Parts: sequence; structure tokens; C-alpha cells
Amino acid sequence: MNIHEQRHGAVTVIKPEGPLTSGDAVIFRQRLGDVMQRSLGRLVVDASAVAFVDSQGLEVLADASDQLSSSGRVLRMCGTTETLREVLDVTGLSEKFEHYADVNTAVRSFL
Amino acid sequence: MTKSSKTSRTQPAPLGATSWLTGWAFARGESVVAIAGMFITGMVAATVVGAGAWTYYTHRTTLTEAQQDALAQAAGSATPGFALAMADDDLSTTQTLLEQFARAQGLQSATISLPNGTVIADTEGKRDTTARLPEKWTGNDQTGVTASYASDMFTARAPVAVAGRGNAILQVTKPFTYEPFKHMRTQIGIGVTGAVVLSMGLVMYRKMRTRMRALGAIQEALRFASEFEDGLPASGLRLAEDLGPEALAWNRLLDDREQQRHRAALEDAAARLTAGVTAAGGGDYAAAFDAMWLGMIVLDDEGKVRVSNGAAAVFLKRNKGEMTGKEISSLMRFDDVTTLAMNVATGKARQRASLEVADVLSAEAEKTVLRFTVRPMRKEDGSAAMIVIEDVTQQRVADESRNAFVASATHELRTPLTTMRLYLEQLVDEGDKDPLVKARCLNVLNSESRRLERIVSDMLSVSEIEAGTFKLRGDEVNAPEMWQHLQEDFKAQATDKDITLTFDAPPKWPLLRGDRDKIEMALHNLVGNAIKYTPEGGNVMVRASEENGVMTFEVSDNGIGIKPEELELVFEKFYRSKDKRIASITGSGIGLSLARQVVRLHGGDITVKSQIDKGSTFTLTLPAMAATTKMAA
Repeated sequence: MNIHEQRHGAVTVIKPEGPLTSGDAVIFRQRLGDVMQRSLGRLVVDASAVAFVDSQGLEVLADASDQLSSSGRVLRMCGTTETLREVLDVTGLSEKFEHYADVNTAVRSFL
Repeated sequence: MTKSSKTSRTQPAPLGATSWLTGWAFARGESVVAIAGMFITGMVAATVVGAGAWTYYTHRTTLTEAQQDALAQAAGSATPGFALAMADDDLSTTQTLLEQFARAQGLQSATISLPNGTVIADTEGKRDTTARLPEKWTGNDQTGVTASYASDMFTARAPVAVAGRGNAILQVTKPFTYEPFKHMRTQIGIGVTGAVVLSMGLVMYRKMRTRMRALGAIQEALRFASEFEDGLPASGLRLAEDLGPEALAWNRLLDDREQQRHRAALEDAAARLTAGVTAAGGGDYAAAFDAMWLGMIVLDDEGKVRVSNGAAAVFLKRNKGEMTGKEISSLMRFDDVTTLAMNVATGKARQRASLEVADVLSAEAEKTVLRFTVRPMRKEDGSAAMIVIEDVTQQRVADESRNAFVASATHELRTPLTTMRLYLEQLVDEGDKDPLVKARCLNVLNSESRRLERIVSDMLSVSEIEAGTFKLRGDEVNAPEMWQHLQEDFKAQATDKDITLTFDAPPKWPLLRGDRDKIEMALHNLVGNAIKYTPEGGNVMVRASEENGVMTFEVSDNGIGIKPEELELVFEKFYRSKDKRIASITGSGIGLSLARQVVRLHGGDITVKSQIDKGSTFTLTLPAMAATTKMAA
């Protein structure tokens, strides 16, 4: 799994490419934790290239959301594919995140 | 400092509310036990003295009666001897017997006389040595012995019956001898011992009394405190300092307990806030506190953290749990903020103040701009200051971008205006004389005015997209005409830079629906950038193709290229590459951003591939027929 990072102003956009499952989820968890630590929570998960997510991937996203929400922040996601959105809706996790159509809109929400 | 001030201002409370005795005793710092001890001691002393006096009196009386009886008995028993001697008319013998009798009995005086007063024998030299006993005499019918006591002197009178002659009188006197120390040795010993012991007890009590007063007062205080169901009351139990070290220690205990209770109350309040339990049991304030994206810290009047939320812990890089109760100076990395917070917390400063601090913890950490706002918060419970922490990094970055955009846009607007002014002046001066000059000037004025129009249009489009009022028209797009305009617009520009500009059109254009002006603007931006960032003598290729209902425009150049880390950033609004080679090239930084947003609104996208120093290829894809649907949405 490739994980891209990009800075948009003071916001870091982290973009995993590929299905977010098992071993990749562990790698993504570590990367996400690093970004959260460095950016004080100013991050956006660009999920446009995540075709599928399993329970471990969902757990990573939910844990990150919980960690941010404990200090009043929220995990912003953008470009969520229809498949991923359905999974989030079915599992009831969708409300844990803020969803944006694209990266720019998500980044602009930090203003 | 605090302790001494409290000690000096607080006086022993009037604890006599329970009874007048405890009140009086407590006011003096004495216990009821001490008072009872004094009373009992007095009673015992009075009893001992009374018993001693009574014993003395009864013993003396008894002894007096016994001595009186003994004297009477001795006088009575001695009279027969005197009578025999007198019957023989032997007065000298009588005298001798009387003297012996007086010595034997310890008499003060002894006299034998006749009823007529003639002294027959006497121990005091009053005897009439010439006197002779008459043969017979009368008088003195006394038959028994009488005895009396007066003025410490016993007097006994006994008849001396002289056979055949008559009754003489024996009168003896004897002093009362009473030696209490001799006769009451045991009682006196017991009494003296008791008195000594009692005296020693009193002396010891006197010595201990000062110490006992404090202990008694503490005892009373504890008894008083036991009347309170909630435990020891906070005040009203302090003792006077002159009661000694025990009282001071007691007061210190009260102070310590009060401080502990105060601290516990603070911690409890903080815990209740943290746990989300309010005094009323209603709102979930702690959860609300933690749900705030602003960092919040409440300080007490000593600059210690009373309450903080999760965001504050994140901003200060601390664990939330470890912050409560610690001094802000030990948690805050920024000295200016610490000083400001301490000034407000301790009341030295009373106005709200804000500080912005750029924070870079390490090389790995990203730069963060934090704004600290410190507000005074005067309350009865001792809270003194509130610190609000806000992450304004993105705002500051946006400000910098806007400032750069304003500077850049101003330059962008001024450049065509300057060109237009110069050519206009030339047209006015020389236009009538030289038709070629006139045509060239008009041509430049035309192109520059269109350039100006595009810039202004781009800016308007950006603001409309930002405001959500951006609208697309759903016309049919005349692609060949648009293609033709594109070639015409950039032909001169490419020629000026000696760039080979190639247009590769498809053999047949598909039907495009959408906003022609906006699509043309997007393509215009892509081609314009390619020419702008390609050095002189370079190549720019614009290729259009259609496949599976998707129209694709590729704009390739062999220019300076884009760094991999900037490939997506170039689509960011107001972003200008950090590449030093483009420092001299003007640009507003909105072209690519606007182009991508417009194309995406048509259902397409713009992507880029690039290699540094080798060139870039921007690909614009547009659904041939789907644009209409997207626009309708």
C-alpha cells in the first residue's frame, strides 16, 4: 500500500492507495498516528483511492476519530468512494467523521 | 506566611453555647475536669481540717474528764491515811504524807484543813505549825469526793473522816496537762502526711494546670466538634495561642486539615468536572469542555491548573491527567505566556491579553502558530485566570497566501494595463501617420485587454466558487471554434519566446456540452502555463483526443518541470512554487486551481505528470455528453 502525504498550507493530507485491510491497516495506523502527532490534528484523510476497507481498517479510522474527538477535533475525510461510504454507513461509523467532496473543501474547513 | 496570618486573625470561638460551665471553662482554656479537680481538692482539704479539729476537741474533752475522775479517785483513796495520822494527832506525819501524795500525783497544791479554816497540812507552806487538833469539831458534812475543772486546773475536795473528832477537808489542785503531739501521734501523723501529699498534689496540679488547660481545651473542642455530623467544622475550634505549645500544635492541625479540605474540594471539583458530573447532576460539562476544539485552562490564584480540557493537553503536548494541580510554569513552554498568565492569575494584571506564538517542537514537527488568550476570571472559589489556546496555523498560512495573491494580482493587472497605456500613447501619436503602427497597436491593445479580462474573470470565478454562486451554462460547445481561438491566442506569445507550439486535433470532434467560456478558460490556463514555464526554444504540444465518450486534452511541454512534492500543490489556490527559477515569472496562483475546479464541475478532472527539468504533461479529461447532467445538478 502506498501512502501519500501532502501539505496544503498547514494541513496535511494523507492519502492511502489501495484496500485498507489487515497488514496495510497496521501500517496506515502508524502513519496516521505520526501525522496526527506532528500536525496537532490538522489532517485530512483522502480516501478517494481506498476501494475497500475491512474491520481492521475501520478500527484504525474509528480509533483515530476517537483520539481526535477527545480533544475537540474531528477526523476529516474527503473523496470517500461509494463502497467505503456504504461500509461506514452500515457500521454506523459514518457519523464519527466529517466528509468533504474534495481535498480543497476539506482543507478549507480548517479556516 | 499563610499559616501565621490565619493564626493571628482567628480567635478562640465562643464554644460555651453548650452550657455556661463549659463555656466559662473553655473561654479560659480550662476543662471541666480541671474545675472539678480544684473543687474536690478544696473539699478534701476542708474535710481533713474539720476532722482534725473534731478529733482534737473530742480527745481533749475525754482526757479532761478522765484526769478529773482520776484526781477525784486519788484524793478519795488517800484520805484514810491522812485520817489515821490525824487521829493519832501526828500532824507532822500528816504533813509528810500529804507532801508525798502531792509529789506522787503531780499536784500543784494540796491542803488539809479543818472546817474552821485551820490548815493542818499544806504543800505550799501555809500550815500553822503551832496548831493542834481539837478534840472534836463539827462541820463539813461532805460525804463524797467532788471534783471540778476550770481554767486548765482540776480541783478535788474529799472529806477526811478523823475518827472520834470530825471531818477535815482535803483539797488538791492539779493542772491539766494535754500534749496533743504525745497523745495524738497517729492522727497527727496521718493528718500531716495527708496534708503534705495534698499540698504536693496541689503544687503539682498548679504546675500541670497550664499544660492541662490546653489539653482540656482540645478535649472540649473535640467534644464540641462531635456534635457536628459532617465532621470537624472548618472554623470556631481554634485555641488561644497563650495556652501553650499544645494549642499551637492543635491550631496547626486545624490549618493543615483546612488546607487539605480545601485542596480536596478543588480536586473534587476538578474531578467532577472531568467526570462530567455537576453539582446539580445535570449537564455533562466535562464532555462539553473536551468537545471544544479550543484549548481551555483554568488557573487558580497561585497559577496552578484547576481544570483543563483535551485540546489544551494536545497543544501543550501533555497528558490531560497530569495537568490538574500543577503550576502553569511547569507545563507551558512559552515564557511570555507563562508570565502573562501568572500576572492575570495573581491579580497583577486585570485585562484580557492575547499572544501568538510560533511553536516548532522539533525538526519533524510541523510549525504551529498558537494564539493564547488570557482572561481574568474572578470568582469566590478562587479561580483566577482562564487561558484559551487556539490553533491559528492554517489561518496564518492563508493570510500569507492572500497577501502574496494580492501582491501578485496587482502585478498581473498592472502589466497589461501598462502595456495598453504605452501602445495607446503610441497609437495616439503615430497611428494616423503609419497604418502599420496603428494595426500593431490595436492588435496589442486587443490581446492585452482580453488578457486583462481573463484575469479579472478568473478572480471573479474564484470568488464566486468561494461564495457558492458560481454557475455554469449548459450550452453546446463549438469545440473546433474553441480550438481555433486557442491557437490564435497563443501563436504570438509562442513566437515571441521562440517556442514551437503544436496543436494536434482529432479527426472528428465529439459533441461537448458545457460552459464554453469556462472550458476555454481552463484550456487557456494550461496552455498559457506551458508557454510561461517553458524556456525559449522549447516545445509545447497540445493534443486533443476522444475515447469512450471522454474528451482528453493533453498539454505537454519540455519546460522546467515540477517537483514531485509540488505536483498536487500546484492545484492549490494561491499556491506558487518555491522553485527559484520561476521567481521572476509573474502569476496569481489561481489559474490551475480554478481550471481544475471548473473542469470538475463539468464532471472531468485535470491531472499532471512531470519530471523536473524534463517537462510536464497536464491532462484535462471531460465527459463528452455527461457534462450536461453534472451541470444540471
